[in-house]
Amino acid sequence: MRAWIWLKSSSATQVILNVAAIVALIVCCGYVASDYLSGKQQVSQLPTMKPGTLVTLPQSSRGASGGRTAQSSRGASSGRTIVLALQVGCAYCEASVPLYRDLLAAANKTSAYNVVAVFPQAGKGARGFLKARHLNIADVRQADFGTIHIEGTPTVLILDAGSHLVAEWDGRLNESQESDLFQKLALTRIRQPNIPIETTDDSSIPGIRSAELLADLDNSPVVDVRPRGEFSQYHLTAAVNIPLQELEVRAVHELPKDRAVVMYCGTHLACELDKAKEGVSTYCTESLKILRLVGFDNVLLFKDDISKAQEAKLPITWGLLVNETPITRSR
Amino acid sequence: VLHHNLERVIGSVICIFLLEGASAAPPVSQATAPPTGITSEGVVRSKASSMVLPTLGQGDGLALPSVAVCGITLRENGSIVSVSSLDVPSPAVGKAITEAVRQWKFGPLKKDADRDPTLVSATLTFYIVRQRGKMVALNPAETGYVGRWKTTGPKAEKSKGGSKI
Repeated sequence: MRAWIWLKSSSATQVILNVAAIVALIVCCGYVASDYLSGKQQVSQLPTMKPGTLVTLPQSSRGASGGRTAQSSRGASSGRTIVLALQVGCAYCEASVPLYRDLLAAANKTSAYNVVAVFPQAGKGARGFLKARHLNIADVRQADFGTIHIEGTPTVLILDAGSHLVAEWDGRLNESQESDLFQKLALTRIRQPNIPIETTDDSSIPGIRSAELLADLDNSPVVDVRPRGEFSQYHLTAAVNIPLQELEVRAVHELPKDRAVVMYCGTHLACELDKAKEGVSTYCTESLKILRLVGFDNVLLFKDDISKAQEAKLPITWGLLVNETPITRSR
Repeated sequence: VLHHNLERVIGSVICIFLLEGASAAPPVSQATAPPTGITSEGVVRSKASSMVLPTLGQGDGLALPSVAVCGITLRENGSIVSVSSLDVPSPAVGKAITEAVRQWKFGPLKKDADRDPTLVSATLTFYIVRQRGKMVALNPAETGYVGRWKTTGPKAEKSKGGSKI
């Protein structure tokens, strides 16, 4: 007790406590500062290539040039190379198409640049992607992005004559990044008119009518690619619902490849094809593309609407008008 | 004196932590919801750094194999905003799957993700099969053909979306 009284009245205690307060303050400030600084560092997390890194592009698919360095099929190896790393089905690549059109228009005015497009997909798909979007790039190559240090698509690289990295831009670029790109290339941007995406004439897509489907219903896999909400309102009873967004993953597990797959997309085929010709991507055309991409070569579009299917006595399941409710199946 | 000094220490500590809380993250405006984009299952799975598979019961009465699909919404920095079941063979399976997916960890979906308020939604597919009398959820890459139509094709075809696990 005496010790406690001494401690309370001692001036030494005051000094100790003041020192403790200052130390606590310093520790807390240090904690906040380190937290703040580490937060700043987290902004850029994915590794990027350092300027000067040697980028070894694969050989050109046409065999005209390439090899271990990024030389173009035009053979202008003394200039710099612009590499566009793209991917079929990549939304940000799609969104960046106007920028690439401007870039190509500017680059084509000078012989200082070779432009190379690199895709993970095989040549035909990649060339089709570029052609449909009016991206006129002669040198298209297929590459495993991991081996050329590309983290994702779209990526734009500028390489010097020795295939060393000068600059890199990843993802969809904002306006200041786009300006930076043109500035680094010393090119003047000329904005190109917006051109709709060209699609192939799909009028030759084989289709199937209600009567034909009914004749062989038990052996015909039917896939309904509409969203769940629409499927729950009504659907062909024989159909399995795989919405467009899930087709790429689920189709190979749930649909047989050794027979014709009937695809129902709930819209009038003629309208779909008209829209496709106007460059508008539709449920039917997109679904068809994805099914073909994952290896379904024999896809038949269901060409009747639901009322005609009903008239033809195709079994139809009618549901409640409920949207976005979870479907719980019990088979 | 002792009381006075303790007050100083505690007061300083509280002030510092309040200051840190205010500087850590800018307040998110509730009035404007961030835009939501859609991405593929393959992209989302490729960003998963830690996956927890659901623990399912016996599944009596369920026709298996079956598909289970859940929807997931992520911030661009990889943090989960929400998980919901979209197409499940039973509510219990749906609950188990959503609880498991909520424990998944994702890396950032793109560079400079912390600056981008955009949300990204995708679906995650599981195939529910019976193995040794128990119901098991498999990722697509672990699953062969499970469709209702007989096939003579290869049994174990891999899909692009399930290549991660």
